[in-house]
Amino acid sequence: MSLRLSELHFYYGDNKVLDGFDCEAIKGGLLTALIGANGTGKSSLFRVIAGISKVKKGYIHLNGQDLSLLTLGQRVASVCYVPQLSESQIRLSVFEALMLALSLNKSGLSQQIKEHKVEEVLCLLNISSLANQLLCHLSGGQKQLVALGQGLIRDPKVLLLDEPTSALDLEHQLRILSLLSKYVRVNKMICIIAIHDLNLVSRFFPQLIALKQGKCIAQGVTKTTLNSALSEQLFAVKLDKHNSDYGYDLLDAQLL
Amino acid sequence: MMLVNQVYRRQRLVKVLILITLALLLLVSFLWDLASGPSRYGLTEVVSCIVDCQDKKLDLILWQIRMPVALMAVLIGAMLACAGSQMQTILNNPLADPFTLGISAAAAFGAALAFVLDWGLLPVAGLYLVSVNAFFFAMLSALILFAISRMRGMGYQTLVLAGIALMFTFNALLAFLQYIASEDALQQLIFWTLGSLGRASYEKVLICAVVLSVTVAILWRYRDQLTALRFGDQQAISMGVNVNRLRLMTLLLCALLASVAVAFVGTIGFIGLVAPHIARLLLGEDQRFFLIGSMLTGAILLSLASVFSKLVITGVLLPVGITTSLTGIPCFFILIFSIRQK
Ligand SMILES: Nc1ncnc2c1ncn2[C@@H]1O[C@H](COP(=O)(O)OP(=O)(O)O)[C@@H](O)[C@H]1O
Ligand SMILES: [Mg+2]
Repeated sequence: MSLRLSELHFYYGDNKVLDGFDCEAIKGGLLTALIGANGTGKSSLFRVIAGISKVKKGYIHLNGQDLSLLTLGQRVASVCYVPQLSESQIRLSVFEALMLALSLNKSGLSQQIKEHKVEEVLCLLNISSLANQLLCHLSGGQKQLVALGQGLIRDPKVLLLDEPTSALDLEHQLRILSLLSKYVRVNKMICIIAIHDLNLVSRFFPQLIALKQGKCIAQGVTKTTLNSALSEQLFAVKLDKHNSDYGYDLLDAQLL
Repeated sequence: MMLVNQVYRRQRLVKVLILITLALLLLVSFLWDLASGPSRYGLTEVVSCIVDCQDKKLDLILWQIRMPVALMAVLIGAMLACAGSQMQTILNNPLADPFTLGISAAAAFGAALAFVLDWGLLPVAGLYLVSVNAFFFAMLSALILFAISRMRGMGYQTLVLAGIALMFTFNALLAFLQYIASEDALQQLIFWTLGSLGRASYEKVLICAVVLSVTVAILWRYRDQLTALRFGDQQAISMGVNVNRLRLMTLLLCALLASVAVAFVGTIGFIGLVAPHIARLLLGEDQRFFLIGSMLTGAILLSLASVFSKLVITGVLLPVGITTSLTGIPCFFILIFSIRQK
């Protein structure tokens, strides 16, 4: 499994968001972090890959196949984008929301099998207890878990998660990322995650892509790529391995 | 402990039971509607006449006067509620309905042109001029809305604003016509804008039934896509929904429903707005239940309103538009308060 993004150009009016974004093939089976300052175009890049926004120029190849040649239906069958946390108040139960995501993409399955798959995903994300609550009654973090479930249940080849941990508590951040690492390894899928927390990046993501001014300014193994120089370039912040003034360094936090 | 999917199935069963209850309520209010009117024939006489009629006069009253009105109330209620529920869905706005977005106002203006100036878009004369005019102006306003939504950089949020602007424009034009109208035309016009089931006929019932069933059949095919729209465009597209095409199609279907309804009975507000809210509270937003529930609720509301329009002043048939809000608002508030207490 490999995803190749070449020379992507994308604008909002005159605002150049992607300006010849180009990176080496992204391999499957490992979590890939997408890092960059606010408003640099991480979400836009995802939307472009998922086919929600049309690129001006450039190509996206999945295993050598040009995605722009696919119909919307074929494209979303292999690429799944899970948007940033949304504020919508929806009167659907969590179970219904997952059934919907499944029905729209795998219409051929029987009701029995669909229900079974929904139960599996609920169990995987440890949210079975929420199954029959309405989405509009959930907290932000719980909604985020449901949105993740709506992505996972579709078994995509490429999963694009937009800040999926932004509203999660510490336990869930660690739990979800370790679960995703395992899931992605087993299913050999490509999973790119836009994320701001560099602690989590250095702990869970074997590889990363850094985005600045519409270009990919760094790509590679996190251990060597993620360093103080990169952080200074991206966020104007110096990194220091042991600089936690107020107690614990979360890099070492362990799930019980 | 119950398995998760058993709870899910039980919730679905409850929703089916709610739909059945609504259908029974509709049947009750439909029969009540048949059994009320200035000539004093009660429920038992009417029901026995439906089965096997002895009384010639009742036969005539039932089949020629009461039946078309009662059927029309049910159908128009369902049409307005269906249009309202889907406009709320595609515009992601709980205040959208044919009335607030100017479609009804456009229809009223079209009708006023016929009443006041005897002028029509199409060369149809006589009885149907008003209906045809109302229909075409309603469709015209929907097309304007759609054209605006296709302009570059216009989101569907702007559509709601455009709709409100249309409503004010057509209302102003309508007021102008009212101002210059003759007394006679004004009388007719006011009666029409109040909404009335009085001119129901089997022909109109048939047209409404055909339009409604075709529309619902199409919407039903896209029920999952429509439900997905609630998650916002990005997520809907990433689930494979062609949101622009779906919005256009649904908007046109809503306009069709609203135009036909308004053309036949005048402007009846409120139902398109409130029936979907009641259905949403009772059944959630899965279109399987929401769409059907909205239509049943709308039909019940207008059917009840039709009953009350005959009961309020004995012997006088009030325009149904007047009683609609008065019957609907109590239902709505009872529901809100009973749900809040849980
Ligand atoms: N719908 C939109 N219309 C116009 N400009 C947008 C829109 N969405 C994002 N932008 C602009 O595109 C740039 C990139 O946004 P985004 O992809 O959301 O960044 P990120 O996800 O990295 O924070 C920002 O400058 C933002 O202002
Ligand atoms: Mg973003």
